[in-house]
Amino acid sequence: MAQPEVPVFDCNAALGRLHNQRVAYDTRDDLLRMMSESGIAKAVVYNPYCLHFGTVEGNQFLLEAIGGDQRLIAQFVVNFATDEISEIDALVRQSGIRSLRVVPATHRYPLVHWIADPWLEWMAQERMALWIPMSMRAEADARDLYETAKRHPKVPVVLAGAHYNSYPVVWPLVKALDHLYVDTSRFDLLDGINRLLQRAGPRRILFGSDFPDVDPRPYLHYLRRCGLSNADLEAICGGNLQRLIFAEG
Amino acid sequence: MIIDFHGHVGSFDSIGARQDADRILRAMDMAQVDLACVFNIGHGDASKANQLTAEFVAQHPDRFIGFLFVTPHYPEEMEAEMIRGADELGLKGIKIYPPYFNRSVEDAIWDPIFSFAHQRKLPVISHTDGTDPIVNPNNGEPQMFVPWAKKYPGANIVLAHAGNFRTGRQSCVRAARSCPNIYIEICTSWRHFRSIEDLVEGAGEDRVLYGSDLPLIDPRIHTGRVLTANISDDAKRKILGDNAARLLHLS
Ligand SMILES: [Zn+2]
Repeated sequence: MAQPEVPVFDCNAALGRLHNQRVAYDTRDDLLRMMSESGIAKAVVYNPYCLHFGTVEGNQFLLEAIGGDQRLIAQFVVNFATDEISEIDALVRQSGIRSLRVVPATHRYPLVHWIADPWLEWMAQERMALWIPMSMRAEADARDLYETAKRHPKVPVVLAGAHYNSYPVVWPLVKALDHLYVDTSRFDLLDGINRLLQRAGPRRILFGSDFPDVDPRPYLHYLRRCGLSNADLEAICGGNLQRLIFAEG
Repeated sequence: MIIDFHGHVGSFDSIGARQDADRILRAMDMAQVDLACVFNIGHGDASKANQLTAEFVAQHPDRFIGFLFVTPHYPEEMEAEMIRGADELGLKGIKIYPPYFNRSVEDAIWDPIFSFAHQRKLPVISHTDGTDPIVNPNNGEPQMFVPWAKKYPGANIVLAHAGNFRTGRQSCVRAARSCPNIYIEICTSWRHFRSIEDLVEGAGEDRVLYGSDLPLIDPRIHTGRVLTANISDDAKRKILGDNAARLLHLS
């Protein structure tokens, strides 16, 4: 049986064009329309320009694209290896940024402690959370991710876009470290939500859309047919992310 | 009635999909899926694979329909195994998977399979993928099925995953428009916007089939793709079951 609507807060949406392909939905209006058609109230959003070119520029483009819309929560992409904390710190404070995304493989550095420690210490102080894509192409080596994340238990780490191809890495990681969270946007595995619940509990699962690549409505349809308690459904659909981003709930 | 046209018997442990009939049935129940077509493509020995499929189906004959499988690496075994699968094991369709077997769809090795399907009026479902066939010659580019469909009009050819990507979907639509016996099955881990609508507009609602790829993918996600699509209720009914029932001679 389908469950009632609950507030939905999307943990994984991109906003902006790519240099190497046409993006079907690339404007704020596209994103807001998708959200309204899918029953998504708010979304954490990053700009894909940051992945291949400049982080500081891309994060600025993101803020311009969001244009102050309260439904879109900006997430900065940073490069732990080449960005300066002092520069990012100023921008983060100015813009009220609550989470960062790193893409070590794309940015060509290992997620090792001697690169990441200063960032994660700063993030712990600022109570910020970290997103690392672990989709078909994992952005971090599992050993590095484990060793580095383990040193910073106060920084929640979201495994974004965890796909069944990354299962052999994601599955042991969520068991090994209890400050790791799983974004459901690509977690399509049969009975995957109930299996994740058993593995990690209801507070470490976050609904994500993977906009603009993926239509989120089918996954929300699925989430409402998992036999979850209303409390668990609410936590997965938005409560957990609210807590992570705003240290609320 | 909802019929899932794409499911696997056997495990894919490294991606978290272990065979578990109870878990599969629970998910099917929650998705309101009545019947699922299943096949085993993991064995080098097709007779073993088909035996396992038949045994799996026999435990829940009201919920599963078995499809047979043969390996192109043992062409001398193909015909006898297809006859055994269809006549002794009661398997109702054929699954082929060109990329697993490193054989292009254009390879003549597949001829006996399409020929058998033509004679017996069986559906043949194949993995498809829209990546460039020059780069990935064995991936199952949808256009490659057109000559088989024309040569064997009695065989209903089902393009699984609808080519996976946008280019693959467009290629599936072109293939379906050029042959009345080509169908398109929707499961994929790529859930692009408007994918169902584009297939229905391009190929027609009579030629699109719901499938899930269970136990890799949860059936609720792909029933959700059909149910949340902007298409008519009639089209949804056809995609979710009526078209499959016709191909399986259930209606
Ligand atoms: Zn499959």
